Amino acid sequence: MVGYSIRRFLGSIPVIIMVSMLAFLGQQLVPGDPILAIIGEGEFAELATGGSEALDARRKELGLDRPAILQYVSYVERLMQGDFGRSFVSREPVLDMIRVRLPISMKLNVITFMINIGMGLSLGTIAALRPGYTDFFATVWAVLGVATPNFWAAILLILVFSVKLGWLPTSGWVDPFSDPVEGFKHLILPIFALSLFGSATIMRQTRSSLLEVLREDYIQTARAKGLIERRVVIRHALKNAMLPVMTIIGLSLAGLIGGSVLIERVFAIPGVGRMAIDAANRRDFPVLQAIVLLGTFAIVGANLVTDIAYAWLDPRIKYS
Amino acid sequence: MAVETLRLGMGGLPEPKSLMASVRSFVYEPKAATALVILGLLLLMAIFAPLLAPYGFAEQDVTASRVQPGAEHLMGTDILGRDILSRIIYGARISLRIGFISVGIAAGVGVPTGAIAGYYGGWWDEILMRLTDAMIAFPNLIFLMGVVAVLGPGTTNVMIALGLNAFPLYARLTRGQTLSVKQRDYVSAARALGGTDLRIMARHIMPNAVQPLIVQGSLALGTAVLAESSLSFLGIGISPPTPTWGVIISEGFALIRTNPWISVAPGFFIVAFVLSVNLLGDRLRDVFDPRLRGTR
Repeated sequence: MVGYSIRRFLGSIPVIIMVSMLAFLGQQLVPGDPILAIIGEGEFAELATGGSEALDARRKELGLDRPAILQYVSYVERLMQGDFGRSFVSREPVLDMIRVRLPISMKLNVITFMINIGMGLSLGTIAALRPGYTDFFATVWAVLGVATPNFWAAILLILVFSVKLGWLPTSGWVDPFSDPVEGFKHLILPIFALSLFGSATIMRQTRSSLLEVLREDYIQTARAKGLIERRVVIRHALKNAMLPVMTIIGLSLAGLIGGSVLIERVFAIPGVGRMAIDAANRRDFPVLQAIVLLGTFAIVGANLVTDIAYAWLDPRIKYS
Repeated sequence: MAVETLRLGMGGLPEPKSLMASVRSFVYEPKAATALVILGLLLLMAIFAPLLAPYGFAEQDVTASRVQPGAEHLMGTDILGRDILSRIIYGARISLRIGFISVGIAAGVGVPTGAIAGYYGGWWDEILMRLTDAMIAFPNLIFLMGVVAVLGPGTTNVMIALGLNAFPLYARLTRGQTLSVKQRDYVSAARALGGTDLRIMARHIMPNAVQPLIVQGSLALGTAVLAESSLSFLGIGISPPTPTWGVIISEGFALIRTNPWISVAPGFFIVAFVLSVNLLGDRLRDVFDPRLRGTR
């Protein structure tokens, strides 16, 4: 298992290298002078008043006169030291900006991720085992959850629970660890809206693969042996049905990170998502690039964990 | 008994269906029929927008600002007195066009690259797979935000961004299908008969690999419309006054406490569209692979 995990970890390195290459390429593709994408319009304008010599000197200082491959190498070196550059707008180091906002987004995403898994697995199992109304309503929930834009669902939730009923706050952020009651109140609607898509996709996949597994011969054999239904479902069916579900759980993290950008906008939550929106609107490329890279590394990490969990669930995988 | 044995011996393959029988079996399922009707209505709405919309999408009437839904304006008006229904009808044109064209771009880039990678293998395949691995690892919406920030806002750039975002899925799917189909005897026979690589790919491999691509196309349409509306809602994709469904929701968001209808109405159209293409995609998958029937 350790050997397999190491092999999988090494296997994800080419992906990380390719991601960094694409991010570097994105920086090169920004229209206009490439130096503009690194120092921003403010400094560019300042240097431009000093004439082309000042700009050339800055270019040399940043290594932009060197071949692209060497520029890429120093770009990776900077990334590995946690140097994501400075914001064009605030001139602050990007890493410091992210450090302040990341815990907020992490709390929102981690809680939602847990709820997605819990809701998706339990609803999917219930739907597969209880055909009829239960299955019907769970399936409708799943189908609607996948088709509804989460930001629109969030607006509907605000309308009902905040504007009409006045039960919950419309927006804002209170840290649930410093003030649990207020923090919880502020989290209910964002988490509900954000979990809509993830829980629906996990539920759909759980139901679908459980139904497939329940048709298998070994399930009939387990029943014929006289095992109680709960044991048949938990020990024999669910474990085998979990493989495709694990993939969906891993993939749902990408949707969650994207979805939280929208939810942070609707509920005015000061997380990384809000920062990404502001950066995209102001074309603050270093900030946006850092967020894209961090989001991608999180997804690569989640896929790695999923693959290792896969091998744990199905030992045949690590020998193949 | 002998007939039964013979039939089972042949793998119990069903008789080939006529085109009409396939169409009938496709629409026979109530969910697919409903989805087809909804999608048809939305497409008609988009095509005949100038005939159907009671007002122009940018027509302002300051005397009718923020009018509630009623006989004069079925879905109310916004702060500038523009008719929401007319904006939604015109919005269908833009949102659906972006959806279809971006899926076209994704398929246009992804299918040939995937087919070449699967057919020839080697270093080209290796590079392509690592590239798609990397692109699939990007969080979709943040990737789209980055691409649109680089290219600049606007309908064309949003389509390109959405196409770029979706092409790896097509490339991977086509590669997988090509790898499986190229082993078949009829492909070897075509090669033995002197068929060129291009002819073998176009005439023998692609027609037999196309079914999952159609299903993927149907599902990708919904994803593209959702992504476009998300970008527009964030104010990053298409800017007002162009009325995409996401833009209209975004415009009404600031007035959510006092005039909720502005943001609420377009959402139903997004849900209706995405729901119908998803249900059609599911149905297509069932028709192409009957073993999966009833598991979704």
